[in-house]
Amino acid sequence: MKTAIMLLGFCLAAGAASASPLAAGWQALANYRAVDALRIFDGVRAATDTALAREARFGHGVALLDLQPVTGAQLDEARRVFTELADIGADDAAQGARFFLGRIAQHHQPQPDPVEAARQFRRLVSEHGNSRWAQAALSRLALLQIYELDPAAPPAVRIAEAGKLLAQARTPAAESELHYTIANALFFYRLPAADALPHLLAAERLRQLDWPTRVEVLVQIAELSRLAGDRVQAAKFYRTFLVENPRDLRVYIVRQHLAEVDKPAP
Amino acid sequence: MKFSGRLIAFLLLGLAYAVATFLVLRHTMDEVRSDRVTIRMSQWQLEGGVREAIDAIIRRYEQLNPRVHVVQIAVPDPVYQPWIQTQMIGDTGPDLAEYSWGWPDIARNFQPITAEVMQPNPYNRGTPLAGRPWRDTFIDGMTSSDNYVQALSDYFGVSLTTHVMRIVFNRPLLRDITGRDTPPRTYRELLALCDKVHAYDRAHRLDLVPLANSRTTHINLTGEVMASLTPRLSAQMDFQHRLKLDPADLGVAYLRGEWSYDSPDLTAAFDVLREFGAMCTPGFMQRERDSALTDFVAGRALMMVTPSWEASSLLQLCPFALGAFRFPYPREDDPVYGRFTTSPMSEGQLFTGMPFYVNRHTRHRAEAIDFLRFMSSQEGAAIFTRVSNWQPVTLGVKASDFADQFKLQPDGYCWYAGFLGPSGHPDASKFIQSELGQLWNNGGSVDAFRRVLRAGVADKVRDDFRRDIIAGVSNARREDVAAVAAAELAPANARAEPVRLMTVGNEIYIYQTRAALALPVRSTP
Repeated sequence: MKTAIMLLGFCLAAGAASASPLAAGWQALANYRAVDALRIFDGVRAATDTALAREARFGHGVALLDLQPVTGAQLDEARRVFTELADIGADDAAQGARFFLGRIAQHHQPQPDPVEAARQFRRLVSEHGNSRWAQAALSRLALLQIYELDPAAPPAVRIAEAGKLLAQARTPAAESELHYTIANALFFYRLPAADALPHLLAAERLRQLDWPTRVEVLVQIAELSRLAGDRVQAAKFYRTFLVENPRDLRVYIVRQHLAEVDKPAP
Repeated sequence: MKFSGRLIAFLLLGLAYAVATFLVLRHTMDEVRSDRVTIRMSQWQLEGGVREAIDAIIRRYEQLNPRVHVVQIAVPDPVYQPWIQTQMIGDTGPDLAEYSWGWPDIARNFQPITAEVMQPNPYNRGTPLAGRPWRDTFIDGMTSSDNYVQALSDYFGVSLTTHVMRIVFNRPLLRDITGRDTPPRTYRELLALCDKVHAYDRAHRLDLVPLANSRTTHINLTGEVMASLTPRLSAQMDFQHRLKLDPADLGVAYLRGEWSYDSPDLTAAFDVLREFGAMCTPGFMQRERDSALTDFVAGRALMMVTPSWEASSLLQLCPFALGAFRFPYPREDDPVYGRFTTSPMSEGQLFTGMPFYVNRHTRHRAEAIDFLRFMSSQEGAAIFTRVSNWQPVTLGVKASDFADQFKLQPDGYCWYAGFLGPSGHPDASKFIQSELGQLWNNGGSVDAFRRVLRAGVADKVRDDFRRDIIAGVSNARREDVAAVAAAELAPANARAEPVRLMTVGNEIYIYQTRAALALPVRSTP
């Protein structure tokens, strides 16, 4: 009875968002209630509707990743479910499953396996390049290339390799994330900061940055433009920063620098 | 009739049981009254005036909203964190809880209020803030870590106040010693005043010291002293060109050997810290803030290092007139330290605090958020500062006259740097704090302090970074699940939207921290 009431509650809560019988399961996962989610997904796994059954199995695998405590056996089970889904079929569940195979290797297993994570992400990008899962994987693949896969290679080479992924970006979000990741790596490895400017400009232009990142990027573009002698561009971004962040603590320094670039050139 | 001791004991026990039963029943009955909703809020600020201020806000709110009853639960701060976490795990947590971004399980226990903070606060209707998004009605635009939780990319907390460090002084005693009651304006004037206090003490045999301090109250001020002497070094360390440094940036740069505690800027900062320590009550690093408070209230110290949250209590405790001033850091005209400074110096990032979070499982989300709106409206904030003498954080609300002395001065240079905690986490900062005795003890010196820092800080930074990676990966795992759930719940026509994983910026941090840990360990010079 309690379960039935709970299920009804989930269904009511999720009803507006989606008509799928699995919506309650996803809603439970969104609320970090993996036990409830697992029960709902498992109730639909045997459905005759193949698409529904596959989504339920996908949900089952995802819920296992959040069912505390996450054990090695659970990870093995999730990996098995995702492998089955990814290897048989090309639907959204297959693509999501491939993404999670990479993600398990990247973050979920106790010892990360960057090579396996990159292998899964590359396969996803090559087989389903336009999918939302492949686009989400691109920047994560870039991180593996820059920081993990070949630590002996010079950072500039690793960053250049990651830059090639830009050609695979199909969505503004993926492209923006890649540009930001590359710019950040250039700073981290103390490579010429000026090389980061075009990437930051591209990321800003795509208007996909979350608010705290955008604040930093505006300052970085303005500063790098000032250092490169592009006073007009520097002034534009200093002003944008001031308009959007009137209470940021850097307002004082930014005003000083703006006054500097606003002066007529000597 | 004779009463045995045992009978009296049983009677007392019975009476206590009856009273407890009555209180529990009253509380329960109150909650089940069908005509109104009860929401509970917990907080740990037991300083003078705060509970009364919240009660006053509640009274006014209930006048405006008779259908809602708000119960304040004040819990002493030493037990607050375990208490609230136990409550949340047991599903008996209050609807609104004072919490902190650095504490665990925010995503599991609390719900984001991002959609709401983008909408106007209806309780600001008829004020200059009418129509503005709620977020933009706070003096910091809800940029504090307690409001916007960057690891989760959502707004969670609504702040009620902000705090700064000040030097509070005994006005009549200052007049007796110096003939005037105005505080020192420069660092050199402060040093001269301390000399006068020592001379006055010797002449009158009073057991008087210039500055009462304690092992906890010195921390923020110590950090500001460091910041005042290191703007040039900080600018050199700004490899990301952000005009600011996060402590973790400094930690990475430290492990790379890009700066050290032997830099002239840091040596100068340590010299000032040593002079600052000499002003304070001997042995203050072994004393709690209550001891400092006692010394000051009893007239055994002319001044006291005071966070503004203590000031409201001081007002109730001190039988003499109080004044407050900002520590006069050395500026460019200082003959010794001037070359390291850049004026004006900002008092630091405006961090609003005392944030209230909405319980993820509350049955009264709408009422809880409505109360938060009132509490942070101009009317609610005005009640808060008037009754508590704490700082308001709502735009356009004037602090009470007393609280006005504790108003943060944000204009100027500030690099957010954390040379005394280059990782932003406890291991490094606690290690450095614990070794300040090398600077301040009898026989301590700047050289001795630098020696222990050279030997120990790098390992602590690495420990903190290891912890950061564990936390970051754990966040990534949790956000993966939440992200796919959100993606699957999206309407079919929005399925092309990006899957909203942990932000790439947060994931970059995991990899860069790992890369920093992989750097070869440098030998101690």
